[in-house]
Amino acid sequence: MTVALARTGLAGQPEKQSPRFDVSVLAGVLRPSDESFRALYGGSHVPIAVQLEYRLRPRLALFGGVQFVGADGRTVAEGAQTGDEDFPLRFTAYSIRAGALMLTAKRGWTVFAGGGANYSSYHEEWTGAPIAASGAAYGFVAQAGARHVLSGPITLSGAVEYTYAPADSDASPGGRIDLGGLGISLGVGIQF
Amino acid sequence: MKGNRLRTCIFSCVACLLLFSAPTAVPQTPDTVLVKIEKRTGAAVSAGTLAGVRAVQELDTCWIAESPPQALSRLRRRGVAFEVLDRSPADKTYFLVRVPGVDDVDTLRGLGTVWPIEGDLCLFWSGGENVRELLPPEFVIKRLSGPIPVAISLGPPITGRAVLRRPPVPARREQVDLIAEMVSQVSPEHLTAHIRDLQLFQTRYASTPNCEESGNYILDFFRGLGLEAQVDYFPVASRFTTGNIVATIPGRTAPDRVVIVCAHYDSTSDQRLTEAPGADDDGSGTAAVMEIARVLAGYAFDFTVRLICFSAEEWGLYGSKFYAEEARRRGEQIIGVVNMDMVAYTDQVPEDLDVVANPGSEWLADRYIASVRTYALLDTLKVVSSSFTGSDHSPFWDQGYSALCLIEDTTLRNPNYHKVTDLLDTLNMEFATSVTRASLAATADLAQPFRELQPPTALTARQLVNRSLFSRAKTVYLQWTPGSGRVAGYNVYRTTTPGQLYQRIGRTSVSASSYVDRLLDPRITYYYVVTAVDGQGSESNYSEQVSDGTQGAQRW
Repeated sequence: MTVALARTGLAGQPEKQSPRFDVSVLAGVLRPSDESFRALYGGSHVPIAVQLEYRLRPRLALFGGVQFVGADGRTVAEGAQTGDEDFPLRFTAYSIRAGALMLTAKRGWTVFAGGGANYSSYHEEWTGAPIAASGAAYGFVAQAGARHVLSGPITLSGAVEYTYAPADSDASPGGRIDLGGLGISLGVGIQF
Repeated sequence: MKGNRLRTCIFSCVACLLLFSAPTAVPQTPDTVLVKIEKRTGAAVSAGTLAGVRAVQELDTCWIAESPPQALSRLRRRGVAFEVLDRSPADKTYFLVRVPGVDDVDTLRGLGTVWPIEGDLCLFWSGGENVRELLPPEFVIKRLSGPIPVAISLGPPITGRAVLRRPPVPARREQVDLIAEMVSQVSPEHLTAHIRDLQLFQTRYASTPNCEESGNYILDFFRGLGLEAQVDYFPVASRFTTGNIVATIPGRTAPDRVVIVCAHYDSTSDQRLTEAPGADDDGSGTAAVMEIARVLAGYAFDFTVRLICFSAEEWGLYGSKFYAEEARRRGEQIIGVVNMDMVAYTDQVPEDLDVVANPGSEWLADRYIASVRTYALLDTLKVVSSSFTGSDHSPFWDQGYSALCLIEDTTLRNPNYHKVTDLLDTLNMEFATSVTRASLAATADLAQPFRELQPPTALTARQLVNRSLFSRAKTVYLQWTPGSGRVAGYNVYRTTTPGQLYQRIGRTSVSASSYVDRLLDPRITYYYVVTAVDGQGSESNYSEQVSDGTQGAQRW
């Protein structure tokens, strides 16, 4: 006890520890990899993500997060047919991801790159019609970006992210749909 | 000296004969060989594998076929299991023989060449066509007469027996149910009288004068009803000529479409030339055809109804083979054939009626059974088997037509079968009446009773498949030419089984001459018919049937 108090005393001015956690909220633009996805729902979407990082070592962090993507679209006619009518669609997907990041910090900037596993739960429905499909896809996520301390614990983050999330589909000519894609996102966070 | 000269002369003549005949003594490469090809094959069979190989007979597990010898190595290379049955089939007449028991194959061995083919079926040839008189009467025979116009397909055999616990129910009930009205007119007394009359000919064994007289009796009966009727003569085994008795009720709106109800009027027994009463086989079927003719003669139908009593069935299906081949040659559009053979003996009560179809005729069996459930008190057993070849439906299968055989038991249980004891007093006329009612209803349902209100014409269908990431759905666009006169609207019906089990779409009639059917399963082919309805709720017959995505229509 004495020793501990002495150490505290020695550290009358405690050593400034670098923050261990960072929670960011990000939004951006996602371009789906799958051509069918783009044909049905358009070429760009706005994913919203929350990501938590835990700095394990000065240059290594673990991350986990959730991303949500929602999109509206319309059915397409198969083959060479010209559609007299189509049906409105609604697609939603939640992705849970976890992995590791390599970090390097200098002058208030932190640059990171890493990757991990991705689990996506999706739901697609034909609006106004009794047709819907739900399921899950397992894949991976890779991301790279930079973070800058704005003021105190507030940070500004930017990242580029690639997700691969193949899902089985009887409706797809190849039998599979990649629900992932390439995205750019920007967000703010808190370090502590 | 004279003797030497004579010997020299004879020797020279023989030498010359041998010399000139030598080329013909050299074995010739045969044009075709007769083979048995197993349906179940371990390899994927491409379209070209069976090029030049022509079907002679389809059975449940195999095909009997003619093949050029050079095609055999190709079959072997591509993993098709086959067996050569005869290397020189030219000028031979083959018979498919169903033996009563497997031990009876030995009986055949003493009479000709035998190949066990499948179960109790054997291929048999003896150098002539007179096989009926060679074999015991309890052996069921079918003459094979060369290639048939059915393409050989390989794959797992399709067979089955099913008691339909939940039978299909017709979606459409008439305001004025003409079929129920017809069925109510079937008379057991008439049926009994016909069987008694047929039995009184003592024998109806084809080749006997009595058989011809019984044919004339049926002909006179048909003509007495005011029907067009004639005898279609054909030769049997190059020995004699006999005839099918054919009566016709011409169709009112589509006479080129034909529904056939038939039986055979010839008989056999162990004393065939003098005594073959054939009350059950097939006096019962013949009496049913006559009774159906009596009732249907008072009605008109959209399609032509043909009532046929075949001859020489017992000789190997000569009469029906002649008719079916001629029908195919003249392009007759036969919708379905209802063949009744032994429909009055019951070994148990209640007896169920066996409804035998090949895979291509299964729809007809289902439709028949639907008629049974609606109009007759009868249990049925659906049997799907290409190997049940021993009656007059089989030549129609060979020509690619849909046909049924109705029989009291596919495994023969009548102890009087092909015996002099096959008499009226051994029969159950209640059962025979039920079968006649069911067959009449099925025939009328297939031929569609004529109604003043005409169905729409020129029905066409076009399909569109929409897709999302995980789902697909088909939309079918139907269009037709509006009816004239008192048409108030249209009912649209859909089915997934062509020709039957139509289910009405929607609760109300549509007023336009088009309809869009949405959100359908794109993996399924749908078939549509449309009816016209008038202000009083009367409904026309079905229009032509169209399948989604095709323009071609077919009238059912």
